[in-house]
Amino acid sequence: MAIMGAETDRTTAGVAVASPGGANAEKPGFRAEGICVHFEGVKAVDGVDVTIVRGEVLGLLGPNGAGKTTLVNALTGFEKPTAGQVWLGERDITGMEAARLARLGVARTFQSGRLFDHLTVLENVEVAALTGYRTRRRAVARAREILAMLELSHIADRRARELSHGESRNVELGRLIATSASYLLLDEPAAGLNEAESDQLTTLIASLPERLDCGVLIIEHDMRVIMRLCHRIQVLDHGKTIAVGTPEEIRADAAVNAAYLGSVDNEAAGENDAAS
Amino acid sequence: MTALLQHVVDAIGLASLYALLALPVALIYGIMGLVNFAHGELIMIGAYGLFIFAALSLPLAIFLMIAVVIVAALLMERSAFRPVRGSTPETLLVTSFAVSFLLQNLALMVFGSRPKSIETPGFLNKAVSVGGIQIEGVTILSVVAATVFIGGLVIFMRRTNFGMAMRAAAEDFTMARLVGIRANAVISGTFAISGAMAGVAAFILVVQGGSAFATMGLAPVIIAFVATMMGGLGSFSGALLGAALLGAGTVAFEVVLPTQLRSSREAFVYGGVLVLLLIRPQGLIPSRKERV
Repeated sequence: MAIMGAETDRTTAGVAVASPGGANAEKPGFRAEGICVHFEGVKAVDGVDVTIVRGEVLGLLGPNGAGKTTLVNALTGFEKPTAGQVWLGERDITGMEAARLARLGVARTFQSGRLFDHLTVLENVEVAALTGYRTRRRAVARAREILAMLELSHIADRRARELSHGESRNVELGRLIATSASYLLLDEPAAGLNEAESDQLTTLIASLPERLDCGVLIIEHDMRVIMRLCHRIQVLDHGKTIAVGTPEEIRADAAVNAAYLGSVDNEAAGENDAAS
Repeated sequence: MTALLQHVVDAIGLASLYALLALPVALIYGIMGLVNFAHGELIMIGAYGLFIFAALSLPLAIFLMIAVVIVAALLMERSAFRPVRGSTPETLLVTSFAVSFLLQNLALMVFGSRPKSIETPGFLNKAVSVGGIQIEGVTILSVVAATVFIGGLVIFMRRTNFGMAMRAAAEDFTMARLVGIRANAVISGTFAISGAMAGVAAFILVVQGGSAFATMGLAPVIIAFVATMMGGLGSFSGALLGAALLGAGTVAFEVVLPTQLRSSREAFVYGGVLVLLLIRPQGLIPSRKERV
């Protein structure tokens, strides 16, 4: 038992030190330069720079196969970049293992939601809060606080596997918040949600940078969501950045329209194709 | 009536021992997808520990023995399983076989092939009569030990940080790490628990068999494996159910088989297991997906 106790202490203590959970902690900036991910000759991501700013939502936009998820994988330790560097403040975190990055405050979600199905909603959030809030009691309190914020308190005791898709996505976000990460990278959080659910999630995500003093990067196909949510948008095509700017600038950008928006709005695409 | 109750008591005793064997195997499979065949050698180490500490008072000997087995379990994880963590299930399985054979042969080299007999207090093998039902001391010990461990684990898993981390890790190891759970701590902790349970099982088996020998871990680990398979590999409640069925089945066949077939009751028990797995290949309470 003594050994286990010691391990437990080290777990929580170690994480607490590394975690930027404290409100006053100086949170380092997140930037990536010249990221390349090449698979056997295919340049999935080819020299992309990304900066996530705290207090801001950055939208990552682009057609299927543009390299968005691969880029996020490279930023979060799921894919080793072929070239380029990722920095968290002064620290080079390129290729660092995902779990370690998570403890340093870089957390992500997946396209396919992954909750702990046999744990309750509260436990799902609590497990993530454990790392930053050493004791069980504080972790539970924090988890309840987050559930209240997400208006999920009424399902706190339900098992995750019993949830609807929309509820699951919300709980997933709650779990991500509970990690006290400074940078949240969300891979299509609104996928599969109906319009009302998507709107609710969008409002919620929009409030996070200020509430948690964190930076958010979001991959999303739904233009409505992206335009409403993001302070800045970065557009990828064929593994390269073709535009960065405010939603208005992006909407007006001819290259973006040709590459991406056109595929959503055929008329616009037609005009832009003619223009270029 | 008394005869029936006697069989029930026997079945409970056997099922308790099987639960002590199956639970740690299920826990480790649940967390890291490893079927640890070397778990039997932890039991063997515990038995030799009792032999070595025989000169000491029994409580001290048991305490030291369990400590040794826990350390052995931690060393096993650190030296053999951590380097192959995340490999294919086949690699993990072969590694556990290798560790198992290595430890068996080490024991043969150190202690020789003849069993080392170990004295245990006589009362453990004596039966007390309760309303005409004969209950052996070791049966009571098995039931108490299993109850304490199962109850303790349930409370541990529900009430402690570490237990919570274990449950999350058992379900989706990668995701657990992504929310900040430390893999090494969880896996080491689980091995420590499996070591403690192996130590307790070793004591019970030594009381029953009276000796320690190099290959003594084989039969228990097969029982553990079969029980966890029946229940659904990796699921905690499944392992308990499997152990209960295996224990009950063994006693039932002993009762119903004609005398001349009783010596081969195991064949019937495992025949039943085969049928069960044909009907429900995923086990009775299938475990959850995704592993390390």
